[in-house]
Parts: sequence; structure tokens; C-alpha cells
Amino acid sequence: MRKFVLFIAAVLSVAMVHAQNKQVSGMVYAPDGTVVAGATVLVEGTTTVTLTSVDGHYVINAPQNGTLVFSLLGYQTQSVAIEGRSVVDVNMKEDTEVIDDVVVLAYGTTSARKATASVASIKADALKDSPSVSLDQMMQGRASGVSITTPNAGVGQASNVMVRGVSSISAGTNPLYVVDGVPIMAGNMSPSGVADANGLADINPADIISIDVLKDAAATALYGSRAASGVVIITTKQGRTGKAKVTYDMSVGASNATYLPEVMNAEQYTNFKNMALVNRYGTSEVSLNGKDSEWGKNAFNLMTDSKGKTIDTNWAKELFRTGLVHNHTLAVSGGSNRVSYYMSANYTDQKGIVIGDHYNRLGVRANVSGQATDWLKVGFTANYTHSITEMLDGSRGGEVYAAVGFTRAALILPPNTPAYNEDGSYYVDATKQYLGDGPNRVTTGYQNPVTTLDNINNSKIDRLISSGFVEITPVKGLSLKSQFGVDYSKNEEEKFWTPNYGQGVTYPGYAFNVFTDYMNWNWTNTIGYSVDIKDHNIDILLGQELTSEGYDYAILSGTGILNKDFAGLYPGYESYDGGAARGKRTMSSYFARLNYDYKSKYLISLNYRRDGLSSLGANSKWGNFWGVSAAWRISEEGFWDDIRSTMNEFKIKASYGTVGNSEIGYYNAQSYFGDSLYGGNYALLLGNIGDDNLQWETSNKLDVGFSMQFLNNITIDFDYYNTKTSSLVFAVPQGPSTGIGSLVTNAGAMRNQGVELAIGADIIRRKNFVWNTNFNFTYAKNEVVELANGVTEIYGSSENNITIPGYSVGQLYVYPTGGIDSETGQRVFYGPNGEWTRLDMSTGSPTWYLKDGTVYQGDFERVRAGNTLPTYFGGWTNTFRFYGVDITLFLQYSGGNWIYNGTGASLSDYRWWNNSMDVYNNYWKEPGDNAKYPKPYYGDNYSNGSAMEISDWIERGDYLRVKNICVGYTFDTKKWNKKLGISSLRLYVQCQNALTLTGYSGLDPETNSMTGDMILSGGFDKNTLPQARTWTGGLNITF
Amino acid sequence: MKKIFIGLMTLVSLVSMTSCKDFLEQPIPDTTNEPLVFSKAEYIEANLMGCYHYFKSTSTMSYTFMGGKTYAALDSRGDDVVNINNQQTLKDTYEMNVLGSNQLENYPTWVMAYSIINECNVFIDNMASYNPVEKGIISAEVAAQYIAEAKFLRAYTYYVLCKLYSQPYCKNPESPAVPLRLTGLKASGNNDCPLSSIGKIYEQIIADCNPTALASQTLKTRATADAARMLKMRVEMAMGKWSDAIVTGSEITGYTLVADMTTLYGFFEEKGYSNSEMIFILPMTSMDSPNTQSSVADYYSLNAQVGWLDTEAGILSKEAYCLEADQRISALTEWGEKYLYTKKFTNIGTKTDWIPQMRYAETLLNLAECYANVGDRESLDKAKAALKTVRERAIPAESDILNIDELTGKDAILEAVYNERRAELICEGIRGADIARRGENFVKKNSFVDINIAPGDSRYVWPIPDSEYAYNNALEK
Repeated sequence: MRKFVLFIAAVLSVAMVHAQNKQVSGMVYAPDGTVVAGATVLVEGTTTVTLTSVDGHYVINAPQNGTLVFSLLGYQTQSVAIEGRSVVDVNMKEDTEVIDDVVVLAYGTTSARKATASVASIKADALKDSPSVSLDQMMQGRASGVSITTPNAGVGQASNVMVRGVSSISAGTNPLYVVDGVPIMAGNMSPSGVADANGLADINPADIISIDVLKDAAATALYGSRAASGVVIITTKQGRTGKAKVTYDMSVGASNATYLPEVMNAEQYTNFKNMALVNRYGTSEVSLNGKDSEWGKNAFNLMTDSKGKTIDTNWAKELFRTGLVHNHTLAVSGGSNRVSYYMSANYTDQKGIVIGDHYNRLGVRANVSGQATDWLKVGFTANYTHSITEMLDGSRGGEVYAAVGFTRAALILPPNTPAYNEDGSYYVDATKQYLGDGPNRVTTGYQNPVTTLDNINNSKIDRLISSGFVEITPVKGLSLKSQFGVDYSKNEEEKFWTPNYGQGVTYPGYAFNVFTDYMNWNWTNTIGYSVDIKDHNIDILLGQELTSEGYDYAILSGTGILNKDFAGLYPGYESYDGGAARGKRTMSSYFARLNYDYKSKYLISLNYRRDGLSSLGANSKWGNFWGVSAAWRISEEGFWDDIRSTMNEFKIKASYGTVGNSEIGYYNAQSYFGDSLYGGNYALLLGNIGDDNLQWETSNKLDVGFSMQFLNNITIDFDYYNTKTSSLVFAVPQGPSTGIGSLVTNAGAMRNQGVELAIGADIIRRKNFVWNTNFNFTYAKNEVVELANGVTEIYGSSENNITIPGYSVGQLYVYPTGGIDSETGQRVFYGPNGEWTRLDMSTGSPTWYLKDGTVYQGDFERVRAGNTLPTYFGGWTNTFRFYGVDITLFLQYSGGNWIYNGTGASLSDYRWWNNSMDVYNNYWKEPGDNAKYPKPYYGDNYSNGSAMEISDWIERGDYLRVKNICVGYTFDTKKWNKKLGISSLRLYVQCQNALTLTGYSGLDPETNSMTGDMILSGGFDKNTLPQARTWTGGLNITF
Repeated sequence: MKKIFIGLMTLVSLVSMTSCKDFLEQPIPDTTNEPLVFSKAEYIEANLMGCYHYFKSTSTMSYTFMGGKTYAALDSRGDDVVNINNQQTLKDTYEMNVLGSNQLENYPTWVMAYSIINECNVFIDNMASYNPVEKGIISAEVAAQYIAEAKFLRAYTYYVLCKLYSQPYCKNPESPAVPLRLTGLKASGNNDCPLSSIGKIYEQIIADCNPTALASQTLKTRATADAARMLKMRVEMAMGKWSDAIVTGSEITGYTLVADMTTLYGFFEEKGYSNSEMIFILPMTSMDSPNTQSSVADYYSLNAQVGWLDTEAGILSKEAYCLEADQRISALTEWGEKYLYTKKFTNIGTKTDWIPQMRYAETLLNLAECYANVGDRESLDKAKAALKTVRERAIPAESDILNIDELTGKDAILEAVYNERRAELICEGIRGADIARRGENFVKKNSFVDINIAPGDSRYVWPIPDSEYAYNNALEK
């Protein structure tokens, strides 16, 4: 390792001159003698700051005559003069008067005391035991104001992350993610949707030291046009001076679907469907496919295998399985006086809870920084990931009606029909496209889903996120820094449909490949100056940045691909087709910040950024963004002296500013032409008319709040926010006589308001018993204020969701119904004027009758049936440490929203579809029954919400989840033989999604089927994977 | 010193970097954008072809303008073809029952018309703003010709709009017609535009007809000097400026009527079809033919059986206009089971019938009508001479039962001219426009309908589409 360090030093051509600044290192101990991890070490009078590692060690550059300030929540802040020492160990004292964590800012940090903006931090500790493969899922419930929904347990599924509500209707609502100063791509990285790949999964969670969510205008203003949806700043681990440290973290977990409804078995199914036939036709001896069956005269019969055993297929067992995930991270870190390094390699393999679901990642990271001279610092970061996401489930990406959607197939396929022949081959019909009829005189027209095992669907990603910087400190307090970062990704998506079964038969054999390069870079140059003049503390930051984002993709598809080996579309295809596209956008920016405080008592922060973006209109390429915040630490005033011992810290703060959302099409603002012909001559037609004035969506953000600490260990943070977003980007229809059609332009407005509360306390802090608790709560209200002129409503992916002014986005929009008429057993539907009607399906075609028995002649209209955004959410973490045992209980909750239980609708469809046991037990049998399900008439797909979405399936989405329970044991390695070389060892077991308390009767209240359009089409649960419960065991070991 | 030097270097590089202005210019790749179009002569011409493409409207459009549906609508308003079949629409048009909410005839016509107008306006504006002449990309003459072609298409489109949406000029030159838009719209916020009077629009059409600039443009699939004269003449006639129209029409020279009229119709493969009678014709190829059910053949051909010739009350019910010896009957009509159909447009499969817009026979009949209206003896003789030329091409004088020479008096001659126009130009987008031009009643009385609508009646015109009212706040219902 020493050689390596020397090598790095040589490469950097560092002149090892005697420095004014030198490395200072040391240990930080708690009063009980244990080490203190995560303590802040600050060089007084500078912005140089670091944190102690998990073993309590720190290293920092400081002047020999300087002073180090040690701080951590729950301990007194201590200032220790270095006095020329190179090792400064500190014993912290408990119950100090103030909180002083490091708070991450845009392009910098500050201390919690001096923070005036709204930032939520999640430290590595909170993340370390989660078995999730990506950080978005780990953030859920951890930070106030941040709503995170993971719509299903599929591999590669990105979470929907919203900071302080829905920031946009059409321009994207995801926050900006910045890793070590480099903005990165997030969300689904499968451009063609072959196999969803989560962009955030390319950052190994074990490499992360902290995640900070910047929420208000003051915190985000320096990210200007990209800040409207908040900014998530991810900081990865750095090496520290001292002996090289080797850590190995691993975990192995098994997962299952949290819930699948129970469906009828073969015998129940056969009886039930035959009964429905009798209700419809008077007999069950009918043929619905025009064929006879050797298994009986009824439409539905039982089938036996060669041993005489009745076929009773549990389709869920054929498609669902126990998933297996294992994670490994091996990291080496350390440093000398001048160079520090952190290097890690990680390997993750995840088999999902359905067949074909597989994720595999191999990644390496290197973070190296060196103090070349006392005034020159250089650093380099690289993160390379190779990942592959595979899936066969047809319901991904919002394909709720996909015939090979595994969840629906698992629930509704006939249980009396086999999945496999006795020889192990797939059970299919003569065309091999569909499931065989089995003993039924009905043709399903559905593919046998297990035949998809012969198909391929995957996304392969090779991604490099890397950056390098040079920082010069010509004089004390002044620093010039230049950082260049890249996020490059090469994606290859591959789809193959076997010629032998299912969708691929007619081609025969189909392959589809997409090759995409993403190339993003940014170059940031900043000048920082920090000066204290008596009691006036001033921090100035000036910066300039260039950013470029681009993609280039090519599509190749072919038919006549007879063999999986040729799915890469090299030889042997009959015909092929291709296409390509590329695009690029660029941004140029200038920014400035002034932080000023007087005696750390009155604080003010002024932030400004000017962005120019290529994708905006010619007249509005440049925009100004700003944020102002101020805070008053009342507890620093003289009159507070008397109560400071109980009310340690009290700060009120406010911020206001304007930031933007630039997630709009690269070329929406440009006028360009389409090709055509006139009498055989080449003709160019105006294709897109660009709006020269197209500009950012603008968010005006107000935040007021306070933070306080009392009794030395209880902290409360409270914020009220009110964000008005205007100039939303829409394709706005123009007056017909303009001849334009529609134009992407700015119109409309939306408002998000809410309160956020975070409470933390160290309830017990004894030497061998610690209990701390963190609770957060967010109330959020979204309202669409206005849409564009001529746009009265916006539908989601279907008419099941509607967005209209006066309500939150994505309201459920379904036909009003009123349960089952107890006299007739028929579903009650309400007409537009409240007319009571009942739906008679006895003839097979829907006829609605009025109370008086006459046929209702009118139409039915959808009605708004509930908001789909949660109005409150949060989390509660309790951590206990008792001697070596640690227990973490993490509860997460959310609610105030409504869900359309489309799974319930599918499960009560009276066609050949299998139904739930709930239907079997609760259908209408005779007059007077207050049944949940209507009288079964075979073929009826109207009464139960399949063909027409009905309000009877709208349910509340409130839930409380035991998100994580973890029990760990840390061995007392100090007593172990030194020769083992183990300095710490912890073993743990944990369970994710252990228990969910909810009134929702569908798969899971967090489920969202429309994963491609989660905002405008929220609250829709149909044909989607449920959540997974994962049991994990793991170890953390340090050598 | 060194560190200060490096610090300064950083600052200098910062400043120099930010001076690269083009960094934010990212034109869309692999697609033609405006600066690119106006940087190359062939792209400029292609953009002009785009204006023509819109004017005829083909498979890339859901609706066809003067290459299809709108052309047929002008006849369906008239009394010589029956269109009571709702299969391909225009039934409401025939029955004079088009509403503001009509989504099949009214709204798409309006949208297409203004798409053409904006395409032309943007082209005209871009020719000024990109100034390819100054940059040496095209010559000043070519530029003037291109602009004149675009203005011709704009003018022709306004002419069609006036025929559909405005009460007749002859009844009231101040009749509100349609919004007059003359500048290219490339941004939102331009929805409001009041109606201009038919008089004002006619003045604009006349101003937009620039034969001089079109002098060297001889392709008949594009605007020629004589096409511009024809359009000008039509408008002058509508304004009752008979002598002006005679002057304009007399400048149209060098044409002769073809002997075999079937050579005027069908699919002409060679570009710029040069027929001695044709003045302006819209070309069709298999690659840019009208959309499903939008070609003229889809309305009038025997195979389509949608619209047929009115043999009960139309011009073909008059003895002198359904003669067997008339090649317009013998060669250009055919009987189906019950009804008589035109054979001018028959390619229902390929939809490649070219669509005549202006031909010399119309010029002669226009002149005849102008001279007859002037009414002095000399003029009446000239009217009869022009009329005779047209009629005798179709019917040998010896077989004719109508003796034009024997006609006396302005009224008799005018009536003969009116009738001849109907017979000659049937199904060519003229009849409906003629009725409106003269302020006559729309009278259709046969086994299917009984309609008599006078000027001033709201049903006399198509109402401006409801959606225009919804967006255009300068309009009042």
C-alpha cells in the first residue's frame, strides 16, 4: 500500500516542500472510552472540515498554529490548539450546548449552526444495513419533505423521488443528483424500455458517506435552472490519514412477495365458472371455442395427469419465486500526510421475486486526493460500473394490459390447465403462441407465461462517473478550484422473442437491439474567499460552469432470428430494420454566493445563478435564479442566558427565491422541418414550430422555520414551505387560424405547500445502553392552479387519471358506482345526473336498467374519485445499543391518497379468468344478500371494473410499514488476538418490509403500475408486481 | 509568486472560456432547421415545395385541400353533383347544413387553409430575414419568383376561404369574411385576429398576384404568370370589375383548347405536364397521393359511388347540355346502376389523378362572362365568340342544338355562358364558387333534397369553426 501511495504522489509530481499546513490526525473518544464516529473536525477560521471515520479517526490539513474545532450532536463542541502537534486526540464531553454538524451546501459546506437554508441529511449510518441495491430506495422515510415511492419489487425499478411535492406536470419531477460535484443521470436508463435499468443503482450505496437533500430556494439556488425539484447531493467516502484500513461488508438476503391474493383452485374454479355459465345460458354444457373436450361436456372440466392426479396449477408458484440477493463491498482506505485514498470494489447479484428477474453489478471506485504543496491540492474520483438488468415480466414500464404481465397471469390463468406437459415441455396450443385449452372448451388467447423463459430482455450498462480537480490556495482564505467531471454510459438493450413460442412465433423469431451512448460532462470553476473581520464572518463564492449532455442511439431489429445465439443480430436474419437519433444540450452558468454572519448570531446568505441553456427559445436562453435566506440565533442573545441551560439553541430562519426546471425536450424551442414531396419533388414542411420565448418552468419558493435544541439532547426542526411553480411547459393548442397546431410553450401554474417536522433525541445515553430516536413528518398539499389556455384537463396514460385546476395532479377518474343491488345482485352505476341504474349482464351485452325497470338510455361519465398523491408521510427510526448488541427499528408511513384497486377488478372478472377466494366467498347468491361481488354471469367484464373502471374499487392508500428491523452484534475485538488483524466485526440480521398495516385490499398501497408516468397516472394498481419482503444477514468487518 | 501566477492563469482561463459564444447553439442534428434551409438553394426551393404540398395536401395530412376534399367541397355546395352519401362526408356541405362544430368538413378545411397560409407567410418572412440573395445563395430574380409563388398560394387559399365562409361581395363588399393573416407566426400569443371584410381580402389577393415576378416560371404544376392572372381575373369578376378582368384575361395568351378533352384528366407522369390548355394543375405521384377517402376520385368516380351528377335538376337536365354528341358527355361521363358519374377523376386505387385548377377553357368563359356583362354590342359579339370556341371544341357545330350566333341580348348570352361554365367545368371546383360570386340562391331540388337558400341566410356560408371562437378573442359570435 505504501508503494501505491508513493506512486500516486509521484504521478502527481508533487514537490514535497516544507509546508505551512500539515496533516494533523488523531482519535476522537466519547466519555465512555468508545470512539466517536461522524464527528466534525473543522480548522477554525477556514472552511476545511472533515468527519471522523467509523473507528473515530480523523485526518485534516491545518496550520501548525491553528485550532481544531470538534463537534457532534450530543457533545460539547471543543476547540483544541494544535500547537505544532501532528497527532491530536480528543475526549469529547457529553451534553454540549449546541448542535454543530456539517451541512452540505451547493458547491460547499457549512456548519449546522450557521445553516440558514433547508437541507435534510441522511448519514451513512442510517443506510448501512439496507439490502437495497440503489440509494433511492434507501432514502425512503429518512428525510422530511422527501416523498419516495418504489412502485414494485422488480429489478431495475427506479423509485419516484419528489422533494417538496410535484414540481412539474410535463417537465419531470425528479431532483437533480450530484455525486461529488458531478451531476449524474438518474431514473430509468433504458431509453427504449426493453428492460428498465435504474440509473442510481450505478452508485454503490456502501461507498456513500452522506446524502443531503437541498430543499428550499436558498439551498438550491446555486443549481439554478435545475433546482426546482430539489437537489440530492451524494458524498462518497474519502481516505483518512493513518494506517491503511481494509473493510469488507457483505450481506445475503432472500425475498418474497409481501402479498398475493389467494385464488380459486382447479375444482373451485371449474365449479364457479360452470355456475356462471348456468346463470347466463341455463346450462354449463356449452362450448365457447366451438370445440369438444375429452375431459367433459361442460365448458370447464377437470383434467388429470397420467397418474390420475387432478391438474391444479398454482400459477403464482410457476412465476413467483424466492429472490436471492447478495452484496459485497471490499474497500481499502488510508492516507499519508499528503495523500489520501479510498478504493473499493463491489459486486451485487440479485435474483428477483419472479422468474427471469435478475440484476448483476460489478463496480469499482477510486477516490484519491493529494496536497501537492501547501497551496495546491489535487484530487481524482472514478466510479466504473458494469451492470446487467434482465426481466421477462411483460408488465414493466406501465404495460398494465400486457398479456404476459406475470402478476396478472399468476392470478387469473386457469388453475385446471397445466403450465408444463409431463415431459417438461411447455403446455401450449397448436399454434404454440398461446396456452393450451386444457380441459376447457374455452380458448384463453393468452400466452403461457412460462414460455417467456426462452426469450431475452435485458439492459447492459457500462458507466463511468469520474472527476478531477485542482485547488489552489494562494493566500489564506482564498481558494481557486477547477473541477472537471464526466458521466459516460454505454447502454446495450437486447430483446429476443423465440420463434418457438408466444409473441415470436409469427415473425418467426424477433430480435431488437438498442445501442445508446450517453455523454455528459461538466466543468466547474470556483473562487472562494473567506474572511473574518472582528465579529463579521464573510464567505464569498464565485463560480462559472459549463455543462453538456448528449445521447446517441441506434436501433436495430430483425426477424427470422431462429436461435437465441443470434439475438445480438449478427448473422442469419431474414429482414432487418434500423433507426438512429442523437441529441445534445449545453448549459453555461455563472454563480455567486455571499454568506455573512455577525457573531454567528445574525446570518444571511445571498445566492445567485445565471444559466444559459441551449434547449430554450432564442430570446430566453438566459435566466436568473436566486435565493436569499436569513436566520437569527435567538439563543445567542444576552436575554437567553438564563434559559440556555435548558433551551440550548433556538434559531428562526426564512428563505425565499426563484429556481427553475429545465427538463424539457432538447429541441422543443427550435423550428425544424419535416420531409415530404410535391409531385415527386423534395419538399420541406415546417415540422416543429419553436417558441423563441420558451423558458424554464419557474418555482418561487418560500420557506420559514425554526430549529431548536433543548435539554441538551432533543432537537426539533420545523419548516413551512410554499412553492408556486409557474410558466409550466405545455404543448399548448393554438388558435386554429394561426396555422400552428400546438406549440410547446410556457403556461399554467401549480402550488405545493407543506410543513415538515423532524425530531431527534438521545433518550438514553449511558456507557452500555444507548437509545436514540428520529422521527419525521411531512404534510404536503399540491394544487394545480391553472393549465394553459385551451387546455381544460390533462389525462394520464389513460382516462383513469385526470389533472384539472383546483385539485392535485393525477386525480383518479372513474365511473361512479354504488355497490351491489341486493335485490338483483347487479352492480349499481350512477348516471351523470345521479340516475340510479343497475347493470344487467345476463345476456352478455351490458344493459342498464332504471329503478322502474326501463332501460336507461343515457351515457355514463367518469367522475373525479380521489387524489393519488400522499398528503402526509414520514418515518420513525429507533436505535438501541446495549453492550455489543444494536437494534434498529425503522417505521415508515404514508397516506391521504387513494388507489384504484385494479388487481381486485381483474380478480373478479367473470370471463374465463380465475377469481379470488374473496369472490368465491362473497358473491351475490339470493335476494337480500349484501354481497361484495355481483351475481356471476359468464363473460361479464363490466360489472367488476375490467372494461369500465368503477369507483367501487377506489380505496384509501394509508399505510404504516415496519420498513426495517435490524439486530446486530459487534464483537469486542479489542480483546482478540492482534494477529487476527481484525479491528472490528459486526454481524447482523434484518428484515425489510417486515409488516404493513393498511386498509388497502390490493397488492400493496405503495404499488404504482404506471411506472412510466407516475405523476399524472398515479394511484393505479393493475397487473404489477407487489413489494418484496427481504430477510438479510450480513457482516461488516474491518482489518 | 508562482501560486499567484497560477491563480491568475486560472482566472484568465475562466474568462477566456466563457467567451465562447457558440456553446449554447445546438441546432437539432439530422433534421433540417431554418438556418440550414435558408443556406442552400435546393432547400429553399424544397421549402417552397412544402407550401405547394400543403396547398394540395397529401398522404402526410389527414385532410386534403385543393388536391382533394376542399376542391370537392366547392362543387358539393353547388347544384350539379349530388352528395347525400355520408360515407366520405361532404353530405352536410351538399345539404347546406355545415355547423361550427363540424369536425369532418368545416374544421379541417379551416385548419388546412391556415396551415398553408402560415407556411407561406413564414417562408415569405424567412426570405426577408435570412436574405439568401444578399448571401449569394439565390439570385434576386429567383427570390422574387419564389416569394410571388408563395404569395400566389396564400392568395388562392384566401380566395377559397372567401368562397366558403363569406357572404357575396356583390351583395356587400363589407361582409365579414375570415381573419387576414399576412405575417408568419412562430410563437404563441397570436390567437387573436379579427375578421377582415371580403373586400379587403380581395384587395389583398389582387395585390398578391404578381405575374411579372412569375414570368420565367413555366412549370404548370406551380404558379405561372398566367395562373396569377387567372386568380386576379376571378377576383376582379367577383368584384364586378368587368373591364379590369377583361384586361387581365386578355393577357393570358399562347394557349389553345385541346381537341380530345380526356387528355386533360388522369395521371400525368412527366413533371410539369405541358398541355396547351392547362394553366395550373396539382400533380400527384404514388408517393404523394391523397390520404384514404380524400382524393377527388373518392367522391366522384363510378367506383366510389359517393357523389353523382344531378341529371334531374342540374345542368345535365337541360337538353342542350346532355347531348350525346358532346364529348363532355360521351367521353367524360359514365352510367352506373342508377346514376351518372363523371370520368374526370377515376383512379380511386392509386389516387394519382392530377387535379386541374385553372385551364384556358375557363379563361375563355371568364372573358365571355365579362364581355357579356359589359354589354355593348361589340362586347356581346366577343362574348359569343369566346363561348363558341369552348362549346365547339366539345360539340361539333353540326350536331349542336344550341346556336350561339342566334343568341341576342345580354341576358340570353349571360345565361348561355353560365350554363356552359357548368357543363364545361363540372366537378372542377368552380360551380359552388360561381353561385356565391354572383350572389345567386343555392337551389337544389331533386328526389333527394329541396333546398333554396338566399344570400344573407346564415346557411349560405360555412360558419367559422367553434374552436376558432374558443381561442380567437377578437371574434364575436
